Amino acid sequence: MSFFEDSIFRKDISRRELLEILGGAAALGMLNASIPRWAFSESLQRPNIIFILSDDHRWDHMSSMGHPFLETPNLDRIANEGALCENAFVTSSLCSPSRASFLTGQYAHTHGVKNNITPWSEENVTFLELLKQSGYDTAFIGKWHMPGKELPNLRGVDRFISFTIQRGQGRYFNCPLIVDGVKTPSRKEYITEELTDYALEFVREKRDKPFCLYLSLKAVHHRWLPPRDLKGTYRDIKDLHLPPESDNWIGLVDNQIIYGTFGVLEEMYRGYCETILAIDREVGRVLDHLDAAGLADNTVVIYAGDNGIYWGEHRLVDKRFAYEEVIRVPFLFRYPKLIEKPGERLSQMVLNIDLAPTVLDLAGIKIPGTMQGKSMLPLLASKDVSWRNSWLYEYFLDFPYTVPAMYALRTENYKYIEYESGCYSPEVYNIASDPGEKKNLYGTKIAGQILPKLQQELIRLKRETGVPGM
Amino acid sequence: MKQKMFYRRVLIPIGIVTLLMIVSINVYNISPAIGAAHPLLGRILSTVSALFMFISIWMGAFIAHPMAFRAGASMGERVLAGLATPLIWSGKMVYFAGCIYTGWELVYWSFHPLIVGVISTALLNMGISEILCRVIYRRKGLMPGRIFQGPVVIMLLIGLTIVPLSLWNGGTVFFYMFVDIYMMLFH
Repeated sequence: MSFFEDSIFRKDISRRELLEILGGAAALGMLNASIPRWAFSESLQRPNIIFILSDDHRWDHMSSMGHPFLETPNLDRIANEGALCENAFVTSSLCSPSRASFLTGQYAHTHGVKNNITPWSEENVTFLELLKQSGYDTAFIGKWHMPGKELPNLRGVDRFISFTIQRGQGRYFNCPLIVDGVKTPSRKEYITEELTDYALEFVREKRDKPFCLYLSLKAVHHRWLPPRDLKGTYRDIKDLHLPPESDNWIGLVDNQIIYGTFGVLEEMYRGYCETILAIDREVGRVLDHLDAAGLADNTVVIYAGDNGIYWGEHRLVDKRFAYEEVIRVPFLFRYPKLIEKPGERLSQMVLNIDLAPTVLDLAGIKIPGTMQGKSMLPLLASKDVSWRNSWLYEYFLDFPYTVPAMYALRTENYKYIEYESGCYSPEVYNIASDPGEKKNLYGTKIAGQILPKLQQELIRLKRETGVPGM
Repeated sequence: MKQKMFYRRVLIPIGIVTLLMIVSINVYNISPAIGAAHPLLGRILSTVSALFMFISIWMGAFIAHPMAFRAGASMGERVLAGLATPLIWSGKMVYFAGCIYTGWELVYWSFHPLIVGVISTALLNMGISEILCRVIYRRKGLMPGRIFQGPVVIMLLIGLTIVPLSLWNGGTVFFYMFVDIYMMLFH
């Protein structure tokens, strides 16, 4: 029995009442044996689901997370009216693998999109497909950007709007789209506004079924270009609170230049923050529409990022390495019917692979055994449940980037990283006392005490999740 | 034009630009530690050293090449001097890439757009420097002959073809081409 059936569903309708409705419907000759049992009554109760996925949005770049100058009132609104997961992570800090994990509920080594080269398999099952099978109207709008064919034959979506330009990265201004297979010029100049327009058109469609919208934004990916009216918003901010180990040229030296960070870091960072403002504004449009259309109470709004980004921390730019800045992401939920304590901050470690089972649970659909994440509904409903206290991070080689393949273990207090390259030593950090991961404990007496347990746990997780060769 | 000793023709020009590169890299690398105690000093050091790093690696040909030219170096020696820092820097990049990639993948990695970019930039700079040196020396009556000789034209052609290609659309076009060819060869 899913959590949805166990609690939410019972709030609205008892099983006896359901049977009476279904029985009555059958007696009236309305019930086709092939229609699932919820089709006549529950569909009215099942929530609409809007999932908004941004790109490279760091977990701490929202005003609700205490950012010193960035103002994100609409993202904060989701957090204040719902729940904010303070310890949300991605299992691989790279766009394509992480995005595939959100869709499938699986680790990269399971769904196969290990990097920006290994292709998306048409055999992968997404939560959108399962929602569609159970009667949802579904739409995928925005960035697909996974290796393989330019765009897949994505099963289970009524609308599939994406872009293929720049190898699927799209562009911020005047980005041509592929709208349900048809090349279509941009209608709006700025990509985040354009995608939100399409998303709202889908939400506005008249329907008698619940819907699920997957709005996958290009922003706030490299080259961090805000819309014209927001450009320069932070021009006068002198202290950007960039890390002390950072400097303006860090993106231009040695291997870092590979990431295309041509320019002065502070200017790029201003652009990043201004581009987040544009995301926040469009999220606001979605929320406002839900309010105006009377859909807010029965619509789950989820916002997440596919990975973070370094702004000079550890003398790095881009992502990939297993440090906190890039493995932590924003993860926000709003669903008034479920979240009894609005504004709650959840401290449990949740993952990108938890999204798919959570969404299915919300819709009352059995979670397939192939999904490796867990439904977060019990957490969101403030239930006292046992939860994971460790998880596996993985990164696979991504030609031509010079970041070694690695596995890492993240527990509530520690992180252990082991690289698949002899040039890199393992790393151990006490996250609790050293959140910035400045002091590698590997080789010290302290690490000697904890290391065997961490290594053992890493092996256990590799085996449990089916890492090849384990 | 009088030809000076080998070390004056080749080793000194290469040594100066290489020393500039090594010093600036090391100053840049220690600037965060200094910046932790003295933020302003750290900022100044990182900016100045980054500037000299850029000059020594990407513009080093404008330093080493004219020095070699003035010392009477042959065309081959001048090219060697102009390419010194880009080649050393590229070697360092390939060395680090060797921690990640091996065999033919590493060989292919050596044609990374950045490496091709830095070498073609050096060739372009040398081509420009060569023309300027020839014009100046011809005016002084120290050097007879044509300004646009074969090697100069080749350097300019390579530079003027590859540098704009490397910069096209922020470098993404060349980069994706590099990745696409990798996919064809290795996947």
